[in-house]
Amino acid sequence: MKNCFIICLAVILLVTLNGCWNRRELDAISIVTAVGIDKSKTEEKIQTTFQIMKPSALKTSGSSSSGEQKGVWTLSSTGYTIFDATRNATMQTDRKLFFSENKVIVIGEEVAKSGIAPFLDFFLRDPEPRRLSWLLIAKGEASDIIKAKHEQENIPAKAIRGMIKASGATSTAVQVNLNDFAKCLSTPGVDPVACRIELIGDGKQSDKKMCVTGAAVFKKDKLVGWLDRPETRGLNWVLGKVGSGIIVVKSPKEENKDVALEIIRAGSKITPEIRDGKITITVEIHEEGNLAEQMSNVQLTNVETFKELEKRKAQVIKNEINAVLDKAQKEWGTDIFGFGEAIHRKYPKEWKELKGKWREEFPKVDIQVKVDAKLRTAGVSTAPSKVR
Amino acid sequence: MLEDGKISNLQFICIFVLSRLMLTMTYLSYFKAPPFNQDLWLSALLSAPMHILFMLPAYFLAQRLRNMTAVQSAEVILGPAGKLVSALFVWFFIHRTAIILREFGEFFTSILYPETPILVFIGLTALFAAYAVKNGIETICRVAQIALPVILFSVLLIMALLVKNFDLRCVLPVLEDGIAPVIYGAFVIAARTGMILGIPMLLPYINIPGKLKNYLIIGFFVLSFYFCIIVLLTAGIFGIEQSKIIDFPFFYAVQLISVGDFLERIDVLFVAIWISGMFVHASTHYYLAVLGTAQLLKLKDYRPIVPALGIIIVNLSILQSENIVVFNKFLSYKVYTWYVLLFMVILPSFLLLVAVIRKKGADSR
Repeated sequence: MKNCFIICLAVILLVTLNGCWNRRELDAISIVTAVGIDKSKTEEKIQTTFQIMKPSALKTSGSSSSGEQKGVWTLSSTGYTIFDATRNATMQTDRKLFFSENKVIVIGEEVAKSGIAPFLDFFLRDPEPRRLSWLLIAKGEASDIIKAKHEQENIPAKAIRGMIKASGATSTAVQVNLNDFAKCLSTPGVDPVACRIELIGDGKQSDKKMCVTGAAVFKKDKLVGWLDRPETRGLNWVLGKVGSGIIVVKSPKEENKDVALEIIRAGSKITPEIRDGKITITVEIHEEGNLAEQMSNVQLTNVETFKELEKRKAQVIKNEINAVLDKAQKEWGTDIFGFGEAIHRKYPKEWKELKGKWREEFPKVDIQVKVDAKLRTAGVSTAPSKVR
Repeated sequence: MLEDGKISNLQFICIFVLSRLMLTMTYLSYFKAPPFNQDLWLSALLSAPMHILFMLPAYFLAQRLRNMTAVQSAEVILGPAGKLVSALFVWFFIHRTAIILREFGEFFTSILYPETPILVFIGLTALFAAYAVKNGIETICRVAQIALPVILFSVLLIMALLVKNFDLRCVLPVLEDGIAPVIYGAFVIAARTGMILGIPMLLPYINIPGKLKNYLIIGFFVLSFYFCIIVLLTAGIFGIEQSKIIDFPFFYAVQLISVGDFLERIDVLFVAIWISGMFVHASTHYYLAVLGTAQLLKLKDYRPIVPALGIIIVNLSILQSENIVVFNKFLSYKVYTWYVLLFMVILPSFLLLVAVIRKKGADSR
């Protein structure tokens, strides 16, 4: 009797528990690889653009016959909120959108200017999207970015992801994911930045190429301006996020020729100081690099010229930092460097008063930049090949 | 005796640490309680001495009446009126089991299976826990002994995998608002260890009860060390402000693991490990509820009431709050701390006091 009961129970369990309740097969979901968010031009709604993977197009690996076929499908839908628009998209897709594989969120310029926080709530609240998705701000419409093609990658979102990762080679873009952005947004004493993406090239819209460069600067959650490439590296110097890159300086003995110096490693130290109510912040940069290339034909590998190159390199770094400090302090009054957090860490008591008015105080803060740039090696050849 | 099994000190401490750690790993509500800032890791460290403080009344009560559980000793100490206190103890374990099951269910329904009714998770867990309870405390202890090392190791592994996302500067400034909120924080953390009441419940079944003290103290320090790791990791990755908002921060931290583009999405693997821990957590409390009820009603065997109590617990766990907002309000530090303290510290202190005055039980010295 007892054995019979156990066998019956086992059979019932076997039949009913062989899958999850929320089971979704691959052919019943639309895997979203990138999302773009814009304001709808025709009505007072949000327009979302989705880049959806086409598994059938990706199956043919190696064969060039389907090379013309796009690996993704893009579609737009509108709604009053993001989630509303997402669900409205199912009217076109025949499948529910699936966000766990989403790697890229692109926000249109107009939306970013109006305040980005309400648009991120869905991505932070819903359990499906991951906080590791990269956050990018489009110069112009986000839908254009989502619809753009990429020659090398079948899935353009993968290309965007790759470009963000590759930006470490120049350090002229910021690498910000959803989690970093949300963290900056809710921490007092630091304003967020996000990566900038734009379409470059002339001609037809479909011929334009995506380009990940620079940074979008926010005040609270509103976009206030853009940083160009050197300014972005200036920001990265202060944040200690410069990985690699090339610094071009004029050759010491031939002033019209350029010398390229490669950055090997860099670090920064932010030291705030409050004396008699006056705030001074010292930013120290330590950089090490190599002499990587010279266009001039003079021998640079001697003690004096190396010293001179180091001096010039330090000056370039200083200029980059000063450019971004100037813009952040004078033009926008937004603390993207986290100086407020640095003060909080060192002077918790004083910060209690400063916290509320930090954005007004920040432009008045005196910031000292000290750069210590070193050259270590000079590559394989010690001198340029003499042209005879 | 109702229970013939004997457990060792090590097994007891395994259940103890495991059930306490599981609650932290899933819910991690400390960010929503004082000190509300980056000093929380200090609170986590200070929770060890606070635990020892809270443990004292229950521990001395247990040592005084070594061969009786808390439910039985209340009657011996207070006479017939003791039945009321015993009933309160039993209620505490029933309610705790209901809370644990509900937490477990909420975790699954809000993160992994949003469309599945919560009853499925609560019912299934209760079903398996009932089976474990039927087999006695020794079985539960064995599972704990296997699961605990795995879980302790997995937390360290998570730490190693997340270390590159981790911003150590999150601990500064230290003691921003002074030491008082930090101590209050430690108080809140320690007050959630309702398992302390498990000491007088399980001491009669421990083979060498005299040595339990040392094991408990080691257990508390292991716990506070792990609390500290979990709190630091979460705060370092999400920042203090975000950690306060996120409902299951440690789980989300595991979701962020991404090593070299291939070691990703191991969160589901950890859910599998957590299930084993949650299972021990739930079945321990379930067992104590069943044992207490049987002793309260002076039954010869506790096994027949396992299904009956299970049905009560499952219903209670669903009916106790209509949604997660109400549930979280009850679990907030302002309510739940005092609720647990009433059963965990105040009632045992009262019993101990009366026992000393009425000279009941053997002096442990």
